[in-house]
Amino acid sequence: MTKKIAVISLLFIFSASSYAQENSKKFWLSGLARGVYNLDELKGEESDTTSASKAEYGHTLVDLSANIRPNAHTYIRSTIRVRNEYGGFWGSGVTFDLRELYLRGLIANSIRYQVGDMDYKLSPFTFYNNNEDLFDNTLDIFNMYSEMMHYDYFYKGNNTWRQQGLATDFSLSFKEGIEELQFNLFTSRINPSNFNTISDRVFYGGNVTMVQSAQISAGVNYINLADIAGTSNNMSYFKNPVLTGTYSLNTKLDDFKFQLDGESGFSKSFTENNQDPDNVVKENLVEDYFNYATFKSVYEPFNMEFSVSYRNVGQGYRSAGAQMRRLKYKTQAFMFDRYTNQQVVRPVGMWDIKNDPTFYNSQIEVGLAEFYPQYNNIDPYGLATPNRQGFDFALTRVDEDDRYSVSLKYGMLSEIVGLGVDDLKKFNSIAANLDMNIENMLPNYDKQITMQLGYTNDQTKRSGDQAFIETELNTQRIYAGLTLELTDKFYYLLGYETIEASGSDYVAVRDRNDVVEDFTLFETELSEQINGIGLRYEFDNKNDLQILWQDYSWSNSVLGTEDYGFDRMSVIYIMKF
Amino acid sequence: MKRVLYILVLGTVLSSCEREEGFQGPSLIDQFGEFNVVENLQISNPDVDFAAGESSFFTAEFSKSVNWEILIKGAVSGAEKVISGSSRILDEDNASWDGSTTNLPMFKIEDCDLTLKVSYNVNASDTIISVTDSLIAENTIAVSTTKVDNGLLLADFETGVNPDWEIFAQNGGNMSFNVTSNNSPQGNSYYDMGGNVDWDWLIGLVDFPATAYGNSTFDLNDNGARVYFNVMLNMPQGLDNPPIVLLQFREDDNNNGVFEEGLEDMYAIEIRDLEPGWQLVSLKYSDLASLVNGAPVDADGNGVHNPDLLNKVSVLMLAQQGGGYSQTLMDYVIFTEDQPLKP
Repeated sequence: MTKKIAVISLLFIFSASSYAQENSKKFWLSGLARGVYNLDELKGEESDTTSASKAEYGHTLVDLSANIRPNAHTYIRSTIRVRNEYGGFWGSGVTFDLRELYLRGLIANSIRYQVGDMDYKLSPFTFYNNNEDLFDNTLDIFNMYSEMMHYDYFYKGNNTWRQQGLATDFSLSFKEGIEELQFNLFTSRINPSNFNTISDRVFYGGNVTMVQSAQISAGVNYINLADIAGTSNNMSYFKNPVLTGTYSLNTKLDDFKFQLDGESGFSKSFTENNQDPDNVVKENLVEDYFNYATFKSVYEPFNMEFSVSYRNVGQGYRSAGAQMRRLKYKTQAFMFDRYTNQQVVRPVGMWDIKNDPTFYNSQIEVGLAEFYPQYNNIDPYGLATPNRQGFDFALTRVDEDDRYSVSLKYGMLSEIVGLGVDDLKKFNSIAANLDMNIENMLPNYDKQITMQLGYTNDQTKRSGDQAFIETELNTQRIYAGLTLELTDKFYYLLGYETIEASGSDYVAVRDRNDVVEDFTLFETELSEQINGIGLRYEFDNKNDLQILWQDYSWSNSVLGTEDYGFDRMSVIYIMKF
Repeated sequence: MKRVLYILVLGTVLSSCEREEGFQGPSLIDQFGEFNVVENLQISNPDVDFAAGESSFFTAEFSKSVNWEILIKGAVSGAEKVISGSSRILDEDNASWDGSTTNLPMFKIEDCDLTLKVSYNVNASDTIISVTDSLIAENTIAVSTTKVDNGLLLADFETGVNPDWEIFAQNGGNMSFNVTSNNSPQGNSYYDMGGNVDWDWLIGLVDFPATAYGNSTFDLNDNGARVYFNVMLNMPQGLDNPPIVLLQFREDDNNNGVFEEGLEDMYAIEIRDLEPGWQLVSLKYSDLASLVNGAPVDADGNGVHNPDLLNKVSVLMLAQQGGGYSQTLMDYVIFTEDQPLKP
């Protein structure tokens, strides 16, 4: 009897423990809570009595994720966003959204799959979410806004695009010859049919990578953005297939490591049964190819890396998944969209790009979108920017004691075919960035002192035998930031960034088939500055409070509009759980 | 290693692909570039014998593509030929003259004045200046013989009226059914149809029976879609009672030598709203319809357009009954094949 009771008791404890353990694995909550309050003040002409000069706004939101693991091979995640605009009480200004929903799992311990929302990318020439203009090397003090927008738009750090569809990957291992064949496949729906004039548009593709060894691998990527025939009354179907091949070779020789990576491929972009407004079928095929290769060598004793890249991307290369821009081209901002007594439209600037979420895209669209030549006239569509050829050089060093890291980059590109003339534009870019962890240089000092300095210079130049052919557009960006840990987890932030853009360039105006049909002369004498001061307290690594103040000024004498500026005071609280 | 080789081969293949040459978009030089005449206007054949099948073309070269216009104007006839285009070079492909005219009258044997004008934009001190119709060259060209139009000519009135034509004119006021030689669109003469008839719409008519040309039917192609009827008409300025020209085409469907009313096809068209001045009216034969009081009806005969069975062409001059004096001038009645007349 005693034995029986002992066995039953043990079974009970075991099952209870198992139940608790099982229960903790099967369901848990996670998420993010954020509170943002902004107080903005417009600084325009003093005589402006028409425009409201101050605005306060903000929001509180909670992303509540239900994580469900019904079994060891299945995971379900559903996130609900509750957002309340600042000043919204008793339900007004409150929104509830299903932010994400997906299911992923493993079939037969070999095939992974994900259904629903997913973050996906392939290569910079096929499917890639390039960083927005001015994002690289963002200062610590200004990074908070970028982080918020990136989080809201699912811009993950690895340049994926948020899609909704189905993805799967699996690999096959081999005993000899090659190590592994990796397969990645996906399909997503870009826009739904309206059952009238708009067809279902899907994006699908994948890659196969052959890993021969740790030194050699090669692969094939294929994607296609295509309308599905029969899903609407529209008899024209857009298609944009892209096929590329990739390779990677690396080896080590004494203290040097060498790596050669490359990708080559071609694309087509066309509309089957393409009809103009008069219902005349017109050919609109655009096709081209690209070659890209980068060679890296690392000198291990100095932890120094040198790379040289070559690219040749044809003017007709079209890859919607890789050329889609994060930034929309907008001429009107959300805040203080008009100013002066004449209520003219306030020209947008760096401040809007860094702070205004309405400037960002969430989905892939067809066509080469308009861009901001004053901020990036060289690579507006990333590496896949059409009509570019030339070399990029980079030299980086990371100190082994983490005292500093430095990078120097030089780009030397040109057009492949001219724009309106045979003369080619040449693009030269220089970028230097220095990150210093000063506390690591000081003995017996353990509070963080981080300094960041940077300089970029982009130049677009075209020479010609007639004055109107000659163009020159220069953009300089200088930034400097300081993060100083005053006491434990309490930081003082300081930042300054300026952009000076001057000159002119002809910018292509494209028709609905992406063919250049005209030019606009872009002229600028832009000068922008942002100063920032802030305090940050990190409760822990998932929970911080920041109080930031920004002072921004803008002027562009070419436009003939009034100079303006902003002051912004922000209080931002973020907690991840 | 073999796979690496494949990759390199793929890269080489892609590298060797050829792209289209040239630049993207419209030419900036054409839009804003400086304009110069690189080669002056030259006339390939300054004394051209069009009747012998000769033509003349014009050459010139500019520093950029422009909108250009050559105007050839007959010193005697006043005929005008306009040749225009948009290009940097004028040559035989885009600037040749076959003796035809753009604005009636047709050219005669005469000397012609020739001008070349261009229009373009130019960038000067960062300002876009539009230059319109800038005169580049003046010259002369002589027409030693006029061009010959292929087709079946029914009437050009150069030798008066063919006695086999059937002409009827009402006994109205100020009637003028006669040949006149004054500002003719072709040659020197045309036919004047005018008068004031209070009691009827019909002022008068001219019938061109096939028998006047040697057969009971006209020598035309049997495919109505290939046959064009052309006539030059003129409504004089200032008429209170605008004319209506009714053209009738009677077919001898059974080919017995006569048109049988009510049994065989008669196609017709009413030409209203004539503009003052000479104008060419060209009609595709297969487009003609059978009309009763101006409304389309089923044809009485086989219902097939048979130009080769055409027995008679009638030109009826009508005007509002009681509307006062009306008048129409007519010249150069001709059938052409495969295309309308290019005068």
